[in-house]
Amino acid sequence: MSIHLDPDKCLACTTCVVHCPVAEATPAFLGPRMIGPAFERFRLLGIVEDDSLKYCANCKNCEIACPQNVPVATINMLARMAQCQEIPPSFRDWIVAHGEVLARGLKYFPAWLKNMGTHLSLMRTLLDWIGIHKDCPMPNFAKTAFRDHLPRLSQKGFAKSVAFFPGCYINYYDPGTGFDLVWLLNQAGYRVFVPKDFVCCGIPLISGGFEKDARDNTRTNLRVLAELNAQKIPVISACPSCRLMLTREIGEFFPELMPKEKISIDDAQSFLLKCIATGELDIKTAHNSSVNISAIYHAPCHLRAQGAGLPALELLSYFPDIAICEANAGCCGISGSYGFKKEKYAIAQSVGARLFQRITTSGRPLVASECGTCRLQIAQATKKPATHPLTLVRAALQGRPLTLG
Amino acid sequence: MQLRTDVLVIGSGPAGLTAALSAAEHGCQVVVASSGAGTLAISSGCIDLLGQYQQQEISDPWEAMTKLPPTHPYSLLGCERVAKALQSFQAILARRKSDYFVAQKDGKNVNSRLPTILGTLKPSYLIPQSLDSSRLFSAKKVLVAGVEGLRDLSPKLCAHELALLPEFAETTFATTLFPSPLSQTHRGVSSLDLARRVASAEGKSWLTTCLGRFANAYDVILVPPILGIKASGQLVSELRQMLHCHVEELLTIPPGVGGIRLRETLIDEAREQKIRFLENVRINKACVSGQHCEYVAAVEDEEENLRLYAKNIVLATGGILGGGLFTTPDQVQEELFNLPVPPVQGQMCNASDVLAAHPISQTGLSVDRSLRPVDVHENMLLDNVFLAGRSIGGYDPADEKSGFGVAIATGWYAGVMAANAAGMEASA
Ligand SMILES: Cc1cc2nc3c(=O)[nH]c(=O)nc-3n(C[C@H](O)[C@H](O)[C@H](O)COP(=O)(O)OP(=O)(O)OC[C@H]3O[C@@H](n4cnc5c(N)ncnc54)[C@H](O)[C@@H]3O)c2cc1C
Ligand code: SF4
Ligand code: SF4
Repeated sequence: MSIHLDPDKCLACTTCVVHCPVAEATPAFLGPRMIGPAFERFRLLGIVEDDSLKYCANCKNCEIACPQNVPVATINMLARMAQCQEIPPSFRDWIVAHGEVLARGLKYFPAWLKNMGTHLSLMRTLLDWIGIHKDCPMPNFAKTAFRDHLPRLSQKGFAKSVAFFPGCYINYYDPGTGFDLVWLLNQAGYRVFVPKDFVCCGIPLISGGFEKDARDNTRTNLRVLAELNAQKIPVISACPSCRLMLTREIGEFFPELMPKEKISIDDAQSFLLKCIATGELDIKTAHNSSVNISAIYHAPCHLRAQGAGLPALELLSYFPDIAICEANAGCCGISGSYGFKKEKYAIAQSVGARLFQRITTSGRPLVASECGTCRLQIAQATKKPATHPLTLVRAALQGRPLTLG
Repeated sequence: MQLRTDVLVIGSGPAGLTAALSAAEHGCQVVVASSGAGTLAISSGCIDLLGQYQQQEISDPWEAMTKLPPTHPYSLLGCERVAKALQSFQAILARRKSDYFVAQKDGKNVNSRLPTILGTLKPSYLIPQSLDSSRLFSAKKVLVAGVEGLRDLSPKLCAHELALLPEFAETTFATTLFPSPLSQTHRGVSSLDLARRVASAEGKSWLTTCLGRFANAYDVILVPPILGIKASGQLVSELRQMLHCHVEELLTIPPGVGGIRLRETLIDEAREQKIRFLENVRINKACVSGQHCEYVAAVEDEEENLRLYAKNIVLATGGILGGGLFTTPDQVQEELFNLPVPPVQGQMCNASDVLAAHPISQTGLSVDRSLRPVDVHENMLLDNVFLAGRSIGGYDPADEKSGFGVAIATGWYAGVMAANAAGMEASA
């Protein structure tokens, strides 16, 4: 691994330091400016890595704030991958980064058994012992993974099709959101399929320092994406982190893998907005349903980092039955699997405190956010149900009241 | 994604935020798009209006304002509008229970002189209570207090330099270092770290104990900007009452803490006004037909990430540092609309005094009285684009001490003009 990004665009203005949620939560972290562009100069001199690099959550708030476009978080992740080649990551770090591999391995165990594993207090003690905090929120495995269930849906008579990159979260833990998306796209006249070769986008592997595994996944995904793009089949994602990785990040991490043609993946909400604009999706029926949903929306950091606005908010605003306000209170703290880790749990909770408080005092009974782990963290901390915005859109369009767990 | 709005503000520095609030106040639907968080969050948050005139420090900015050249942004707006802008800004701060004030002398609004960590004095106009320096100039005994591990402030240097100033001929200065409230830190401690700690109950009690040991012996205690992270001034007044001593913050290098307090205040207000923020968006394409901007967009790798249709646009992209102006070795450019930047006037190098004003600081775009961009012959170039803040030329914020003043004045007026042009009734 020998990619180094130019640190010299940094003016040392400290804007990123002010906006880094981890630096706010703990003085044990050098902070974005120092660990990113400043330390990069030491790295170029071959000076040994600073131990506090491990605190960077790859949340991207530094990059969102930086006026000079310095890829601070990417510099950090490249450094982490280089570091992990010297010092192999722990067993725990392997586990949290390889959710997909694990889930595939456990495929033939029933969900209740797997979920017992994540909820029984004895198991939690065991997980705690290997470094997964005993109080951290954990997702439940769905009975059937989204990708296994999708072929059983009858989607007949659609002239157009769209390829869906479901990501690990929707696939293993939250197929319901996937089906809401399928339903909505069917309404717009699209058949939805998942190409069989799609694998984990690789962002958890990057954050964990597993360069080779991330590269392998990237190579596979790029091949599939290039084929789809060549056939002019639109590809969409409903997970901000997957889309961030597949559109913006892979070129920074693996420039040598990038094809000449631009790879394009649309945000699911953004795609639906286009369907409304072209008339493919008719939302008139939504105007005489009476579903009355009141929710507060949390914009995931990895969505904000994409710089393409907040399409979910835009989409929700089309439905008079949905009263939505924006939390606008920064990071939830979980950062993928960061908040699962024993030594990071307290930091993750402290980072999310402002958001939790805003949600609690908002008086809204429901939280909406695209990111699965954000929802997990928020639901645990605020005791309010949290759903994907697409679930609300479907409810409003179908005139079907939400059933909330 | 595509979006439609009445007013689009590009840039979220002080000029952009003020423009957004003023357009929203006049009934417009407002979207703010910016790449980067702007300079506000790292500043000290004091609003410089006009601190120097012809390199001399002045007390009454309003009197000096009438003498500025006709091309200065204040002259283009006129003193009355500048005053109205500041009033409107103060009203926002008051509504948010923020404690900004302007010093008075002989019934006039005047500049305050604020001590810095280097032991110098800087003039500023609209300032928070924590920076109230009125007692400093009559104090007999002053303590400069630093904090262990906070390398930005050397109390001895600060006190030594202040004592050399004629204003303090009768004052005695002492110094101390408070023990750090942060047990183990891996990085150098900043004022912001301490301010965040003081915002907690333990941090507040740490500070009260530290100050309490000295409060009886001194008239004024100067501290780095660590008095919490809220602009409400509640903590400051509580401390002053409890200790019977005037605790006051020093201006410091970034992050200046005061700026974060101010920014959060403005963003809270913006949220209440339902202003929408689009982050990490670098607007780099403008579609103009004739003199009218149809839409702007953020393009990356030849793909349009975002397209924004607005009836009116406020361009508040800042100067060279903010990203609104781009420099090459021999010229300055504005890249979005390709607006003409008048060539730099004056001697570019070999300045004998490196701290004196430099002509590059005057560089920026030309506007008419409605803040629309114009060419060298004063012809209007765009009919629905209004400029605000540092991207406008004809003034030197560093030398004049007028940065946020111009940003707020032009921001407010650009917001009003944009609202007017969008068909809203706005009085100015
Ligand atoms: C460190 C520092 C501290 C200062 N402290 C003070 C102080 O305490 N008091 C004072 O009165 N003055 C102060 N000044 C001066 C003052 O900051 C400037 O005069 C003032 O910030 C100008 O405000 P602005 O809103 O025009 O520009 P900026 O604050 O520079 O904001 C520009 C904004 O536009 C965005 N932007 C630029 N290009 C694009 C684009 N293409 N697309 C999208 N967004 C874009 C930027 O990201 C940014 O958000 C300080 C300056 C600095 C550098
Ligand atoms: S915000 Fe950007 S330019 Fe400023 S210190 Fe951080 S990385 Fe450097
Ligand atoms: S990615 Fe997040 S945690 Fe890491 S330096 Fe940037 S802001 Fe801080």
